[in-house]
Amino acid sequence: MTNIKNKILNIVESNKVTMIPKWKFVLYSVLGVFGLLFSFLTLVFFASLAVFLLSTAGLMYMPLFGLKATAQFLMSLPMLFGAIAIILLFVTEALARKHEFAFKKPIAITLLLITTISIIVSFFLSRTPFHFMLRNYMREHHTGMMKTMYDRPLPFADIEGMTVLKGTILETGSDTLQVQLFDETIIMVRATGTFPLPEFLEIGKSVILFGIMNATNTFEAVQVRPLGQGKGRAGEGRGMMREINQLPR
Amino acid sequence: MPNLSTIADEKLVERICQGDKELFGELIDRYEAKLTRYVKKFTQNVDDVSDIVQTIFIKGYTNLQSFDTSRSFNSWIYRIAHNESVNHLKKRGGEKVSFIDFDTFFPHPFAKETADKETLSGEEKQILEKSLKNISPKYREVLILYFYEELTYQDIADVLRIPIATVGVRIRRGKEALKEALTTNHYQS
Repeated sequence: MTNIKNKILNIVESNKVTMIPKWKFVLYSVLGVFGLLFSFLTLVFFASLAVFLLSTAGLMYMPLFGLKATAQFLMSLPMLFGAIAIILLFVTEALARKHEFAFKKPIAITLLLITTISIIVSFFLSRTPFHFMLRNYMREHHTGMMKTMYDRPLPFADIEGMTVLKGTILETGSDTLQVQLFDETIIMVRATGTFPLPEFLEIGKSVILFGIMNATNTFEAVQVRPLGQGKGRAGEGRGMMREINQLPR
Repeated sequence: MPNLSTIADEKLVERICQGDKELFGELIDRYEAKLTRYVKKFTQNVDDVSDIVQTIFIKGYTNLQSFDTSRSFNSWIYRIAHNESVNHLKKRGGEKVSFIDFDTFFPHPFAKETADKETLSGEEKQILEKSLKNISPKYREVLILYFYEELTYQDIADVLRIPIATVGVRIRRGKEALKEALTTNHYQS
């Protein structure tokens, strides 16, 4: 009998070390699965919430959704999102270490997979009425953190007073529009930067308006674009910035 | 009682879990020499090898109930040996053992195992052994598992928890690193 064998058998037979019972491993696995599932759902919720907030604030439709707006997008993500991602990393690593004896997929691949799936699912979720319904419910029943999260304003970087609105055209004039916003408010829009008015501006069309609300409660729109169309022509964003800078303050 | 040497490792584990503790000795007999050689070559250490091997067996015993007997015990015990050796290298310092390996994210599809397994002669193994200490642990380990322990790509992938294609990439890069180390040694001497 070798020295190592002798020592180990002595330790085993004298019960100085014992086998960990199977139920403990099963419990760890179940907790691990629940932990990962919970983290995944939380990530999906916050990522889709971020997309929803940007979308309802109109920032997603900005033709300038470039570097600056991407930074804005990242800044507008709830801080909890980052914290949860970090917690998820540590939890998964701790679980992997705890179960180092089992055959498992590489942790890095698992995390990459979870993150990718979360982002994809989030975009799909943000397209459903889920967040609209939840926001309405929070407005009616709660005044806590969740309501604040849905109703907090998202200012657009560096453009003071810049507003993005969405609504339906009720009337058209030579250089004005009457638009009913999605919250039922009716406003007068003066299309400063888009004169003469484009042909698509017909009664009943849904549009996105970029501009500033002036003192006489008229919306000075530097750009009016149909809702649901692409990002527009190249360089259009820069043109719009020049027009914004020329607006009366 | 049937001859123990004819019983598969996985069957032995089943019987140990049912209470035949003394059968663990048979597993020690089967793996002590292999694990000692692996740990010694991977850690490039002689002094602490028996302590590390002892820890591997103790950890193996305490966690035996977590072993899925439909899998390979060989890969499972080498996985524990890998973890212990990496812990030892980290504690000792001096050699960089990275946490995230980008080969894992971008495995090369062409790095497949060939039908004829490459084998080395005794002399070639001696030359390889001398140069092992000069290459990164990441490549050193995969070469040891492949050429000395004669594990398959699938077994190595299970032990290191990396995609099977990454095993091929590491073996190829390991051989290149080894060639470079051998050339450097040749010019120096």
